Amino acid sequence: MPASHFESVSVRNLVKTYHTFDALSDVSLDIAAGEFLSILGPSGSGKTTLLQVIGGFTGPTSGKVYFGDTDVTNLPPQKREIGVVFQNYALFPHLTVAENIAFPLKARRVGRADCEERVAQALRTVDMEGFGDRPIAKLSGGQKQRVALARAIVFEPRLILMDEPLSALDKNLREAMQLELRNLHKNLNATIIYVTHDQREALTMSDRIAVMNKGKLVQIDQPKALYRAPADHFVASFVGEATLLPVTRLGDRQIGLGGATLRTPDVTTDGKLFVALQADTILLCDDAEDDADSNYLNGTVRDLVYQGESLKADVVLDDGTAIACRIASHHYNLRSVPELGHRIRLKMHVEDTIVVPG
Amino acid sequence: MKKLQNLPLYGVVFAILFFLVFPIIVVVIMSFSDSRFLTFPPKVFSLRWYESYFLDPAWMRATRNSFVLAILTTILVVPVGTAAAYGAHMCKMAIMRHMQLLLLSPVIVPVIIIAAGLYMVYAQVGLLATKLGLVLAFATMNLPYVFISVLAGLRSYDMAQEDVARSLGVSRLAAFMKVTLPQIRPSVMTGALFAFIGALDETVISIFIAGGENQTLPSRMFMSLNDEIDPTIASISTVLISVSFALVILMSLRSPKKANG
Repeated sequence: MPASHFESVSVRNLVKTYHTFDALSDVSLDIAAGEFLSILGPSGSGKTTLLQVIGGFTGPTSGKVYFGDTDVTNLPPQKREIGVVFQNYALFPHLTVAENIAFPLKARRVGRADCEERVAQALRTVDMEGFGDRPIAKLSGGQKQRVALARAIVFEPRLILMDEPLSALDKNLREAMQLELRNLHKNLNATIIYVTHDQREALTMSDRIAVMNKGKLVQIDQPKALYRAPADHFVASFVGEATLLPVTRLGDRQIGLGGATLRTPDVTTDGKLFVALQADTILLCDDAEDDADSNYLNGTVRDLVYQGESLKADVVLDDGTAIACRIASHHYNLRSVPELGHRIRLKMHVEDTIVVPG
Repeated sequence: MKKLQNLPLYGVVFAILFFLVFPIIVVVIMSFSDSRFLTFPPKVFSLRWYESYFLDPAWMRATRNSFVLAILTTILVVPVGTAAAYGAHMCKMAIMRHMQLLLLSPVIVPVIIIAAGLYMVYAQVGLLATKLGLVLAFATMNLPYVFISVLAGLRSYDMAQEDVARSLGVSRLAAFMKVTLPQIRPSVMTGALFAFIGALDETVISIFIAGGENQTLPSRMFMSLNDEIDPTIASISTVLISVSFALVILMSLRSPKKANG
C-alpha cells in the first residue's frame, strides 16, 4: 500500500464578511488525513462559504487554511491540488467522459500513455468502464456523478471537496451512491469534506459531522454522539428531526413534562431547557409496566396517520402538550394500535431522554 | 377550424415579412437593369452596373477599405467585448448596472451626435480619415453587440465549471479559454457577426470621419448618391446584402450541429 497522497486540513479562526453580513465568524476546524467530515447546516449557515474558502475560490476576510503543515490561505485553487465535486456535477459538456477525466492530467502535462492508463483506472474505480467515449449529454444523473468523482480523484489530490453532490439524484439512487461514496472513501483512504443539508446523509457517511448555524460552528462530533448528545436546541432540532418541547427543571437529573417527572441521563443545567423527542424512540406500553430504565407518559390519542411503513400518532399529554410517536405498521403491532380518543401509556428510555439548553 | 382562426395571423405575419423584404427585392432586381437610371421594373436585364462597380478602381478601393476596417474592428471588438461581458457578469457590485448602461450608450445615443463628437475630437488629435481612427470609432459603435450577445451566453452558462477547471489545475485564463469559451462560442460568434456587419455598413460615422485614402464603401455610396443616381448603387447594395446573408446563413447552418454534439 503506497503512502496516501491525502492530507489533513486545518482551518484557523476563519472569518468571511460580506458588507456587514458575517458568512463565517471565527470558524476553526481540524480534519485528519483520511477522514470523512460532513459540514451540516441549513442554507445560509455558511457551510458553502467554508467550502469555498477551503477550495480557494473565495479568500477569507481573516484566518488561515492549512493542508498538512502548508499554509494555503493565499494559494489559488489551481495550486491547491483538490478534487471538487459540485451539486450540478459541473462536467464539461463539450468534452467526452474520457476528456473530462483527462482534463486535470493534461493540465499537469501527463504523457499520453500514462494519461490513458490513469483515465481507465479512474473509470474502473467508479464502475464506468467503457464509457470513455460517451458525450456528457448522454449520461444519466448517477453516471454524471461518477464521472465527476473520477475526474476529482484521477490526479491524486490532497483533498476532496463535495458540495451537496447527491442532492439532484432521486431517493433510491442517492442512498445507493451514499454507500458507494463511503466505500470509495475507505478504499482510497481519502480526506473528504462533504457539505450537505441532509442530516441522514451526513449520519450515513461521515466519520465526524460539523454542524454549522449562522456562520458559526455549533458542534463537531461523531454521528452517534451528535445524535445522542446535541450541544443545543439548534443541533437537536436539525440533526434528529426531533420535536423540542420546553421543560421545567425539577432536580439534577429530573425534568417535568406533561404532568410527569422524567429522569435524564445527565445532570441538567439551569436556565431554559428543552427535551428533544424523537418520534421513533417513544413506544407504547402496558399500564402495569414499570421499569427502572424507562420514563412514562400518559395521554390521549388525538390523531392517527398512516404513513406506509409506520403510523404516526399525535398524542396529547395530560397538561395539553402535544407529542408524536411512531408505531411500526407491521402486523405484529396491529393488535396493539390504539384507537382515536383512547388513553394510552407511552415509554421512553432514560438514555433517550435528551435535554438541551435553549 | 384551428387553421381558419389563425388565418388573420398568417396574413399579418406575411404582410410584415413582405414589408421588410420588398425593398430589398426591389433593389436586387433594379441592379440587373440595363437602364441608365434607377427604374422598376427594368425593361431589359444586364450586368453592366456590376461591371461598372467591379471595374472601377475607386469603388474597389472603398470596398477593400470597408472589409479591412470591418475585419480589424471585429478582431478588436470581440476580445474587448467578451472581456467586458465577463467582467459585468462576474462583478456583483451595484455600480455595474450603470457601467453596463455606459457600454451600451453607443446604440442609445443618436449616431449623428457620436459622429459629430468624434469628428471634433479626431480633428484635434489628427485621427481624421485614418485607419486607426476608423477602427476605434467602429469598435465603439459595435461593442454593444458583442457585449450583449456574450452576456446573454454567460447568463445561461454554469460558472461552477470554471471553478472546477481551476481546482483541476489550470489558471483562470486557461479555464476560460478551455472550458467557458467553447461553450459560449455561439454567442461570441453571433456578436462578432453583428459587429462585422455593423462595421461594414457604418454610414453616418464614415461620412464624418472617413475620406481620402481611407474612404469607406458606405460613405462613397452616399457621396455618389448626391452626384448622380445610377444603378451602380443597386448592384453594390446587392453585393453587400449577399455577403451579409451568406454570413448569417453560414452561422445558422453551423450552430444546430454544435448544440447536438
